This record gives sequence, C-alpha cells and structure tokens, in this order.
Amino acid sequence: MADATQAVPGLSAPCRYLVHHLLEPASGVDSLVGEGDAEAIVDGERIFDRAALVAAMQRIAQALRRAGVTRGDRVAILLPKRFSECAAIVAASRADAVFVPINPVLRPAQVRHIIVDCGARLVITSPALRETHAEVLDSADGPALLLVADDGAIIAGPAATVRPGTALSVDLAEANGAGDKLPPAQAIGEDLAAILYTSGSTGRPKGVMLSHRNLLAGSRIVRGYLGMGPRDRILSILPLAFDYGLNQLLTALEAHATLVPFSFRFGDEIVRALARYRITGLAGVPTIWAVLTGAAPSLAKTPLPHLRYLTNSGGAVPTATVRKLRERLPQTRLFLMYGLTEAFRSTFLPPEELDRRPGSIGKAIPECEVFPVNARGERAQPGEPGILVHRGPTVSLGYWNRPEDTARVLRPHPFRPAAEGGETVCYSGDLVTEDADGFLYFVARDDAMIKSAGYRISPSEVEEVLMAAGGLRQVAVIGLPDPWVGQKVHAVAVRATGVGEPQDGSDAVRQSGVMDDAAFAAMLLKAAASQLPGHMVPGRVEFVTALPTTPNGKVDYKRLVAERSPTP
Amino acid sequence: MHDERFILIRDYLASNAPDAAQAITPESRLLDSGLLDSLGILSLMEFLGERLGIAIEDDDFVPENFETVASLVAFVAAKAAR
Repeated sequence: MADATQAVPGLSAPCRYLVHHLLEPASGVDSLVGEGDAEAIVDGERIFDRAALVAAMQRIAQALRRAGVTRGDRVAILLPKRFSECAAIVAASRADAVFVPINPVLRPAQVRHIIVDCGARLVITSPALRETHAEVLDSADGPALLLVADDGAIIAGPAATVRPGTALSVDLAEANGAGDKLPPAQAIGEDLAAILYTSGSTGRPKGVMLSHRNLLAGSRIVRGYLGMGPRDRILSILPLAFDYGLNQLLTALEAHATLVPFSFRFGDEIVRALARYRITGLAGVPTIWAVLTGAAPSLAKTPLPHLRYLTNSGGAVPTATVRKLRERLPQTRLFLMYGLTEAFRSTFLPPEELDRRPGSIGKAIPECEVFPVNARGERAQPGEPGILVHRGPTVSLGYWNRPEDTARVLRPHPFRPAAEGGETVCYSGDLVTEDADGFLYFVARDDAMIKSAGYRISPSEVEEVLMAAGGLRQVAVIGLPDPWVGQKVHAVAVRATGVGEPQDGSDAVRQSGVMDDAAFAAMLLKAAASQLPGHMVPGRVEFVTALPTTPNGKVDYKRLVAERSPTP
Repeated sequence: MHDERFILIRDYLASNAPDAAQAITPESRLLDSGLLDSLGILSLMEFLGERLGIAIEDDDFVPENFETVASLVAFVAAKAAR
C-alpha cells in the first residue's frame, strides 16, 4: 500500500498512528503476524481473511472519496453487526474522514439527532436499515447515502456529484474493483477519528470526540493487559457505537486476532457461538452476564475449553452473578473494567484480586493515572469519597460542538498548573473511594444519569418525551436497582389537574382528564415507545401528588431513588 | 376468543412496539418480526413472572417458547398449571 506508514527497512515496528494503520502490512519483524490473519473476521458462515478486509476498506474508502468526502468530514455508519460495519469503520479512517457509528436499535428521532448534530456528510448504510430508517435517511434534506452489502460490496452510492437525500447510481464494476487508488491519508494522530454519541444526566446525546491517538492508545492498553495475540478469537456482541464495543474490533485488528461479529436474542445463542467459533475472549456488559447465568440453560452443559477470559464494562456486575460465572466457567478469567466514553477506559480489577476485593473497580489501566478528588478539590484520603479523575492518553477531545459541557468534564490538572506541565484531565462524575492499597470502589453517580443494560440514559431526554405526550404537570425519570439490567428506568409523574394548566389542545391532554391512572400510564408508555429505543422506555409510570424537592427547589432525584430502593 | 393471558401479552407488546401494535394476533411471530429483542425477552419474562405469579427459570429462555404469541401463551399457561 502506498501510504506514509509503509514499513521502512530497518525500522523495528511499523509506525501506526491512524486507525486504519492497524491493518497495514506489518514489517518483517512484527512477531504478531500469522494465525489470525487467515480468519480476520468470521461473519456467520463467511470467513474474511486480512486481505479481504483490506480490499473492502479500500473499496469503501474510494467510494467515500468519489462522493466528495474530504479530510475531517463526518461519515455516519448505520450498519448491522456484520463484516461491512467493521470494513466501513477502517474505510472512514483510510479516507481521512471521521466515523460516527450509530446503533441500529435507535429510533428515528435519535438517528436524526446524531446525523444532524455531527453534520454528517454521508451515511453508510444497508438496504434493510435504509428502509427501517427511511423517514430520516430518505427525506429531501437528508444526507447522501452509500449502500453496502453485508460482505462490504458497494450496492449503490454517490457518484461524482452528491445530491442530498439520494443514493445515486454508480458504476458498480468500477466501485467494486480491486486495488488501492487513493493517495496516502493526510491525517495525523491528533486528528479526530471518531465521534461516539452517549448520554449524560441532561439533554440529548452528546458526541464524544476521539482522536486516532486516543483510539490506538485504548487498543494498545487493553490488548496489553488482556494479553491478546494472533490466536485469540473474540466474540463481538457489543455495539460498535459503544466505545468498549469498538475496542473489540481495534484490539482484534492490532493483535492479528479473529473477530466474530454476532447478534443474539437468547443466552443459549451466545453459548452456541462461544463453542462453535472456539471463542477465547468475550466482552460484555452486566446484562450479558445476567443472561448467561440466569437465562442460558446450555451454559452449564457446554464445555468451553477455549474461553480464556471474560471482560465486563458498562456498570457493576452483582456479586452473586460474579460467583455464578466463576462456578460455571472455572477456567475462564474475569476482568472487571470501569470506564466512561470521555476517557475510554480508566480502571480494571485483575482476576486474581476478585476474591480479595469484592465490589472493587480496580486500579488505573496501564499508561494512565486515576485518583479521587474531594469536594474541596483535594486528593481524597483512603475511605473518603471523591470524583474519579483520569489522566492519560485516552482522555478524549471533549464533546462535539458543546464547549460548555466539555469544560465541565475536561479540566486542567487539579494539582499541577499548565505552566508547570499540567495537562487536561477528565472528571468522570463518578464518586469513588480508595482503599489502603489504592484499589478503587464505585460509590454513586454525582448526578441523575441512569445506566441500564450498559447504556447511559439521560433522565431529561425521557422526561421530555413523556411531557410532550401531554397531561402531566411534572415528571422525574430515575433508575432503580434491577438484577437484569443494573438500573431499570422508572418514571414518577404528577398528573395535570386541568385547572390553570397549559393546554396544548392535543387529544392526549383532552382525554387524559377522564382516564384512570392505569390507562393514562399505558398511553404515556406507548408515546414513549414510539419515540425512544427500548432501553430508554420506562418499565412503569407511577403517579404521585408532588415530587420531592431539594432545598434549592430542584427535583430531589436521590430521594426519589432512595424511597423506592430496597434497604440493604 | 382470546384468553386473558393473550391480552396481557398483546398489550405488553403493543406498549413496546406501537408500530406493530394493531396487527398482533396469536399467530404473530415474536422474534423474526422485531417485536422482541434480547432485552425485550428479559423484561417480558420479568413482567409475566410478576403479573401471573409464576417463577421463571433459566430453562424457560428457549426459542420454542417465543416462536409466536400463541407459543408464549401456551408456555405461561403450562407454567401456571404446575
């Protein structure tokens, strides 16, 4: 490949500073080459070797360039969990673009928010998802589309000119032809590589900006402490739109390992895939472990001798689930990780510490430093709660187009002024304590953000949808402890009395006055489900006469949660 | 004639997938129609366990119980009869 990073004879390692460099032919002394390359990506029955992935990357990158995508343009990727999604991500990097993966389970309103918010120049999607999201993708002012098949072949896409809202015809023979006809990538490691959308405690999802350097550091660090190599075979079940899901792709490419993209509905399907593909590593979120230990009858009966490790992120795994996992899989090592998209990964608990320090999130990942800072801005003492602060090469570039939100999370080093070399660090918003040996323990969120099934959910985004349905004076959305999903989404609402309430004249408002609580709650949930993905829809709407407030007059979310949680 | 279990399941599915709500019948397919995903299966089972007072076990999470709305109704009926 004619690229700036072509291996230079005598150089001990290939110089990799962009995401697609993970696919560059490694230099002769790279000890990792081998085994996994013949099966870089296994998608169902189809096996794609490393060369096939490189070819698909070049094909899609060229199509992006022909569509007029230039350096720094955002390219949204709305694809199913298949080979094509992996190829599209590296292709965006190869074409000097910024990739914005979108989880296909999102509803049209969220998909539109992401596409508009990041100003996507083009969306790479599949014919099926184009149909599902037609209302967003095929609108007159919509973005240009590039349609790809599950195997990464170009189906139709923008030709020389790009008209909004159209997937233009293209010379398919030319588009699917072999060879790299692109000039070398111009980006450098500091350039934006990806924007990953995630929720906070308020407002709509925000795009976390990650540089190539951030992503490669995240890959290098995690691959290192998991000891991943070319013989590893990784089952990829987490969405690539989730930072930790994306990490499975990048670490597999870097390690010359095998990645198996996989979607499931039943725990037994995961167990079958683990056996069938001789999986060595599985990354999940707490819900996956709840499913495997509580809703997968075949786990106890299926020998999984290849399964070397499990990794968890996206929330704490209940101790009972950890115990069951270790009983069922005594040979498999369990790594509990903690991180947030804004700093990628922060800590992990080594498997050998599991018994000694139950409930711990561990210590800082390699190359990073993590410490709690108390309310007075000092380094917290052992046992004293403080906000977890993260330093290191995975600290993101902040939120796309949201300088105020960025300033709250990315701040100057608390103890070292910039004039003395202090850099920007990440304030996680998570309260933690440290034990005498420096191991950290999660205490609580500093705000009202909900974490359910690995997803971050902003209460205000759900509240907005419920309020818009009409008939409510006030509503607060909270997360309540749940063994399956970590926190389940629960709405506490105050009905409008109709006296002195704003009337928007909608049917909902007119009818709500005569509905009983159960019927009204069902109507609200229906409205929520039509606009929000499943993980954001409250399980229940509960009616109260008033919401408790803090001394400052704000809704007291902590009290709402405490009143509804079982006392330990 | 629909029994109360069918109505319970239909209304649950309808509140989660308003696009498909109008057309839910006992023959409706649950998994390949997009009515249920992995998380939906968990929530639905939790809901049914609570509402019908049945104990859901891990052996119950098998595709046979989720083929159609009627298969699910048959499953909870058998469970309740035990």
